[in-house]
Amino acid sequence: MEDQEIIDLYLRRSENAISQTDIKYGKHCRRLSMNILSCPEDAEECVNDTYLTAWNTIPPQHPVSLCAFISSITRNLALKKYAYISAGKRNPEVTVSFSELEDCVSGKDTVEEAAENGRIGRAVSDFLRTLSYESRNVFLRRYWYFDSIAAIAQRFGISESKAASMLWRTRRKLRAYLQREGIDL
Amino acid sequence: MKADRIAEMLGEIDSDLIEEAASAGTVGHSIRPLKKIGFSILAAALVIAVSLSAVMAVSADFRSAVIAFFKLGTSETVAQDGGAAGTGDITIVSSADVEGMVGIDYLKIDSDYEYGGGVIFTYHEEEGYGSGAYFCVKDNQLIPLETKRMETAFSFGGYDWNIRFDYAFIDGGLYVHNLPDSRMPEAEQTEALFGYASAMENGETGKVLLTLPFPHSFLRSYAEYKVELDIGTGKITDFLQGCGLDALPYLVHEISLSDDLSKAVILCYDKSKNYNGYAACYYCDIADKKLTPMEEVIGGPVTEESVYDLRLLDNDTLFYTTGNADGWRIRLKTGKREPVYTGLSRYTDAEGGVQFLGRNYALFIGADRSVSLLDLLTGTRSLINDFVFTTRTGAELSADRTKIYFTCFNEDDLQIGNLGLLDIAGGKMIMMDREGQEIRSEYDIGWFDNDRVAFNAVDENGGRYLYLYEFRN
Repeated sequence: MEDQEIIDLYLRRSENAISQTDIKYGKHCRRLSMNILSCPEDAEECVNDTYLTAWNTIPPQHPVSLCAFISSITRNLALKKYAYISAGKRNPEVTVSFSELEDCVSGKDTVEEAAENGRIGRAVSDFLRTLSYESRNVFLRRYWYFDSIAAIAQRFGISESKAASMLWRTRRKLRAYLQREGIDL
Repeated sequence: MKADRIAEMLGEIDSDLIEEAASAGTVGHSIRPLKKIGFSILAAALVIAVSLSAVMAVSADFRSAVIAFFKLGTSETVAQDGGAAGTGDITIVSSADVEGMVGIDYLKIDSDYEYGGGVIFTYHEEEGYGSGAYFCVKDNQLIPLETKRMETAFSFGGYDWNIRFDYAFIDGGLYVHNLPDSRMPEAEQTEALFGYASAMENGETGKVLLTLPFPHSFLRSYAEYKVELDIGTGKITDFLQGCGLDALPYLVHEISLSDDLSKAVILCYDKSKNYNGYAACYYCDIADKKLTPMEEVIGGPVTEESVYDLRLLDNDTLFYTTGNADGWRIRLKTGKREPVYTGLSRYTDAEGGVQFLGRNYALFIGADRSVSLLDLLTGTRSLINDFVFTTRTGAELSADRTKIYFTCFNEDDLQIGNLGLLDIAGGKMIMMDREGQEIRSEYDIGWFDNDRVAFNAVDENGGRYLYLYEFRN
């Protein structure tokens, strides 16, 4: 079913919307939540919460991209759950992923942080559009979807070594780009 | 707090980029149409247990060797435009030779293009992929290629399939270029689906491997299936028929084949649980039509403990690593299981470790940043003399597994400061410094064919360039 048809089901309050979302994006969401939570039961709960959130937010929201909308909900819910349950057992993939990016941002916590994050998010989007298809998506698979280096190498048919050096270069370029944009690091 | 901020910052990325990344790399994307089929299964969630006590009792027994490392005294200076005549959209701007060891062609390409397998495919976006032109580059000359188109349709697994690709024979090898519509199918798609082709290792036979991605649904038996297509006759061969895949109580998610299509590793999801995690893994002897649970092959139970990586190294050897940083190989003819190494962790920037290059090779980076080449098939560990690895170093194995290129980005301008090539059989690595890269932005590196490394570059006016490097022995 096309995304727009599924969105129409949400708008018409048809419960079939959730089934269709699961058929189309269930596996995708489970992979993303598993990357963060590393536990099938937690991941499954997160995916179910994703569908509930989508049900409660469409309408009034009318997403342009159902894939991105559902993915974002899953990611946010999984990260919240991760923060809640992971005090003693950090998922190394998430921890390492964040630590790799630490040089790009400051740890400042200010009242303007949310607005600043939005500005940085837009700048990161602009930056990503300057990259090649491969560099851009290797970056996003690592830092948005939390794929391991090994999984990225397999996905793009490149070596782990190439993936790792490509990520290093992109991080450094991002850092320079954010500095040029006057974004506080 | 920093982690929270990074998470929130990335949460603001535009939705079209998130959507693109969702499916990026999963179906032969056009930037790399010639990728050989993958043989490794990197299954982060596949968990196969082995007896840890048995693993710990065995010590690795690598045979040691040394690879000589040479650095050229002369640097490459990246060529400016020379105004040379070209063929259609392609101009060989300049050619260079560095100490008789490295031949370089600098090409300017005034159209969109893709490359691989020794071929450049040019096209204009407004005219579509189907109206492009094909060239190979030999002896500093552009040679137009005669290409043919394959279009066929057939029914399989309850669906109608369309196949469309262009192909050409070059030096006895087969070049395959998929045409558009090689896309992931929509659930409940009713129109014909598109499969995509890859040249097989023995591509000169005129056969291609077709991957058929089924609409993803846990109601069906296959997420993907593979058949063989004879280009000459158009005949489809279901070489997996009779192997017992139809009777599996799982969703067949991934089929990884040996070079000669005689063996396969089958990864399955559990349809009832619907988890992101592999429920079962099988070894399939296609020639004997025999399917064996991987537990029997490995000699241990499948549990939630880890096998991080599982791959066919060749037509008779399976290799896997455990979460305990050990590598094992199994000779499939005899069932003999033997340790390849023990206690070598996967790579981290801080501590070094193992980086898999694909197929039967991996790099081991020591804590002192020394680099060794691991041949997982023979158990040979070869130190590359005097070569130091940094976080800026990247490496990639050629499709024929005979060479590895190394690159190193500059710390300051992030351009590629060094290019090296390791000739595995010759036991020799040559490294070349580069200068003048700043005239263009180099954004992609890859193998052009089994002998040449390619850089993509773009100048400040949007002009596109392809640099081809051939290291001579």
